[in-house]
Amino acid sequence: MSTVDTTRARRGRMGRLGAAAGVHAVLLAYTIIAIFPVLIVVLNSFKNRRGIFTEPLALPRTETFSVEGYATVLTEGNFLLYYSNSLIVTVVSLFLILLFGAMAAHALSEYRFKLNALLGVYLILGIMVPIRLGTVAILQLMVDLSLVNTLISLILVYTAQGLPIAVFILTEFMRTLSRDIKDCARVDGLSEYRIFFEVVLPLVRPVLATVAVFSMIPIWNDLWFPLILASSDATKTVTLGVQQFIGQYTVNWSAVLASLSIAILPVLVLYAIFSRQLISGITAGAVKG
Amino acid sequence: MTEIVEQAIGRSRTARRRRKTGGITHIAVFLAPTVLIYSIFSIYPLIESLRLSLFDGQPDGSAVWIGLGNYATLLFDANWAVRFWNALWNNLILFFIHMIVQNPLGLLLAALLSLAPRFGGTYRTLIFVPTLLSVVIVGFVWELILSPLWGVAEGMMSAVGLGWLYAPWLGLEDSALTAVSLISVWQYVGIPMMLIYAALLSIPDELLDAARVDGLSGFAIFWKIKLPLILPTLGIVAILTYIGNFTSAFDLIYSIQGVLGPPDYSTDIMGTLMFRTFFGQQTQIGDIHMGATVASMMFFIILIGVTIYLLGVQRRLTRYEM
Amino acid sequence: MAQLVLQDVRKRFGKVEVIHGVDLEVKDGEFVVFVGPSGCGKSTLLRMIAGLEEVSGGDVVIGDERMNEVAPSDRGIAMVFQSYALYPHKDVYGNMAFALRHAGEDKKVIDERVRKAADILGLEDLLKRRPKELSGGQRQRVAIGRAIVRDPAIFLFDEPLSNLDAALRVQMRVEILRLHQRLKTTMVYVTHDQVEAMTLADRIVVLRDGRIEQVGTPLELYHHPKNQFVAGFIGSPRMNFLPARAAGEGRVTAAGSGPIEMPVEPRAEAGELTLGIRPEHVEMVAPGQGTVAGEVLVAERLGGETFLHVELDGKETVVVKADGGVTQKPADRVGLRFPPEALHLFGGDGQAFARRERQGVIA
Ligand SMILES: Nc1ncnc2c1ncn2[C@@H]1O[C@H](COP(=O)(O)OP(=O)(O)OP(=O)(O)O)[C@@H](O)[C@H]1O
Ligand SMILES: [Mg+2]
Repeated sequence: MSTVDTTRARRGRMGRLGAAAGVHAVLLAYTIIAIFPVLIVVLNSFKNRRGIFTEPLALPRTETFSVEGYATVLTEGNFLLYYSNSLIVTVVSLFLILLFGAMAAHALSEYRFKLNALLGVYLILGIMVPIRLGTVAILQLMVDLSLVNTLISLILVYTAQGLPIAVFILTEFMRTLSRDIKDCARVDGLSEYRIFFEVVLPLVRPVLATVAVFSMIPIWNDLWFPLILASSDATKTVTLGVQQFIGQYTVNWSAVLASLSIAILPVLVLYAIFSRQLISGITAGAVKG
Repeated sequence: MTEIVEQAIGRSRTARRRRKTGGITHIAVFLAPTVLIYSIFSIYPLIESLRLSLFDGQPDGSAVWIGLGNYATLLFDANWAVRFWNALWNNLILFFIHMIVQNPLGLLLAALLSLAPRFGGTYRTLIFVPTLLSVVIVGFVWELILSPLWGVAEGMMSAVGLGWLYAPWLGLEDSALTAVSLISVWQYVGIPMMLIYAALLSIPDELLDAARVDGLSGFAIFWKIKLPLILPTLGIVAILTYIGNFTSAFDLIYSIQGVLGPPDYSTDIMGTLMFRTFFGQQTQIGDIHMGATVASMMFFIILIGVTIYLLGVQRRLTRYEM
Repeated sequence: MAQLVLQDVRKRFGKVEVIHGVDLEVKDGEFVVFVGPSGCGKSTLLRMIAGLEEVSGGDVVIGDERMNEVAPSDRGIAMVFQSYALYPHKDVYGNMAFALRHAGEDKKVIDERVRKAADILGLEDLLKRRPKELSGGQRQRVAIGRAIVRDPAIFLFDEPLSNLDAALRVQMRVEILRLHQRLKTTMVYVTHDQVEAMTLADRIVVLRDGRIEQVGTPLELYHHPKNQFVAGFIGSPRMNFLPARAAGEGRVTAAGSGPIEMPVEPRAEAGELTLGIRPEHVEMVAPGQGTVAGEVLVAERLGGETFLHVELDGKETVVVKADGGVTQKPADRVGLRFPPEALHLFGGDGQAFARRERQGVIA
């Protein structure tokens, strides 16, 4: 059969091209809206005051290039400390969320016991009810435990906050794991603990990464609990540090922009590393519920 | 056969100790850390807040039981009620703007992405960037951009001939809340986009092929096949938006506008009201009992929303096996 | 000596009892196959033997020890699963060595046993691969190798071939048979495929709804099914069943036939009877001759043989296994002869009438 370029075929092809152009136009337009503000802040953080005000949209040039903002931030603010605080809080909380969450999810998905369904619902309640509503009592509790102005207080709260969603996602995923492989390990003589650590954990590693990224964002970015539980200079997180730094330096634009960039960059770097993981994780299981 | 079994039973008693099956210790060990941390730092504080809201603080530091007295104050005392209803109303507006801007926008972007255009992954990645940023940062970034001082927004609008439209929106009573809401939309649209995108991807290709063979156009496939199938996800997005209003919205307003919700309380929401009540501010000293009352009211309001969702919306949204 | 004894074994999930008292003795070195339709409890029974499922009642004895409370790894069993259950993060060698390493076995012993198992199964070149780099057949071979390495007293297989394609299934079936001949270890094998059961088993256990219907060698089940369920389950295509009526003096009539002499012991039976005959035993004759007559509905030609679906005048359908070269087409009339010695008779309760020893057909 010879191919004849019928009018219908041609119209179809033109239509498809037009549609594709439309799709790209919309997506591109929104992508620009999404990243333009970030770009403009990062760009201007590398300019001097004149450059920032006279040509805010231009790339830094030799006359306008300057890192004075960063210099101010690094000397005036205690950002290295804030970074290490944020890092400690985030990493330790994530570790606890993933470890404890995976343990609980394993128990809920693997074993038949009386309270199983009830416990599942109890833990998942936390997804619906924001932990912040208990702030009043959390603060009192931390005062009683003498944990105010410690990183531990933040770690405990963030762990409690992150566990429900982690348990939920991990339980859903672990239910899909083959029962055979755990049984096989049992026949091979592994204890229930070793089955969890040596068989189940390696199998859920990809999902753990997704849960990690998801849980990380609200912890790293939180302002509320650092403000209330750990606002001392020694325990400030980056987010709180930036917030207060900007409060003091409102007129020093280079410093403000530099501090913002300093807070943005690590998140972007992490995101660049994990973004594929994140997407595939979301599409794999997070929306099942 | 019975003999064999009886002998075997006898022998198994004497046989060297072997590991047993069953037992529940390990189940308890697996669950204990999560249940403890969650109960102590999430559930107990919530219950304690509810309890605190039923007491009134005395000058000597003790507390007396006053039943629902604090709630009566919050709802009917002229000074409190005006703030409470204003904050609740602003929260509802915030929710409304998210529902009509953020979620449709997320749906549109997800639908376009699900067509698997070239560079789809890049678009998706970049559009999600604002979601990752701290609201503190987002707040300041937009404050700077919209600021008449720097003039980035004004300059850009003038460049396309829209300069006359510009106003310092964040500072004007009529537009501040809308401006803040739109900033929040800008930041969070990535979440509905991702959730809806994932749901769209999970629709089996065969189903869409079948629809195509049945003669449905791309647009009809979207309306008649895809949309009904992702309705449950849209329901989840709606309830997440609702809950988010009462929590994460605080950070944004606090960092852009501060704790008073200026100008003139036009951006005051439940979160800022709770913070102010709890910790006090220039003119007013903190009151943990009233703070707990505001928090408890938020809890009930969220509960009402979640209940409506669970009983009304979710039930009607059939989940299809795919 | 009995290697495995089940006595009145029961299993309840919550309030529902799914295994209702199973008694079974498996002799040392025997290859026993559990068959039955989906959901009949084959896997549950096997998992109770393995210790993966707690026993709700009765006793499980392996060797000479009661094993009800003993952990799976201490029962001297190895198990091969339908989904292979290979550890994805370990290579083939690591998978096969895992249990021994865990048990703290000497490195040299482990290596020796793994290499020997790999040799038996032709896995020598794959030892460094990860499971995801293997084909389905290779994975199943590794799963079996992993069981061999443990040198168990009993092998347990739960539908090990179900995930393989048809050709591979036949090949692996032969390999398992050879493995059994070589190791002479007791094997308990679960399948819902009666061909697998017939070809592999020393003895077959037919299960239905958590009860044993019959235990016997493949030929016993084929020739002397105890009831209509077993008769229909064993043999492919399945046995034809025709409603029948007693016609006195050990004879019955069915599907408009004349009285047929039955090769069964007489039994007082009031209810409806069912006549059974396997497709391979029906003979085709000219219309008007033979036991019954009918019209060909469909002819399934497989080359070497042809299955004719014949609608009898009484409207029942009978499948006939005929020669590959038969010329009958749909709508042709044929006569069918039921050789008396090949007939089965079932009472109204589904129980078979005891058959007299068969001559002719077996020989
Ligand atoms: N964990 C469980 N909880 C409740 N019921 C169960 C459980 N496991 C199995 N059953 C029930 O026990 C019965 C037997 O199940 P089993 O898995 O042993 O069947 P099977 O013969 O192996 O079937 P198949 O050929 O499909 O594998 C089924 O009715 C099943 O629904
Ligand atoms: Mg089974």
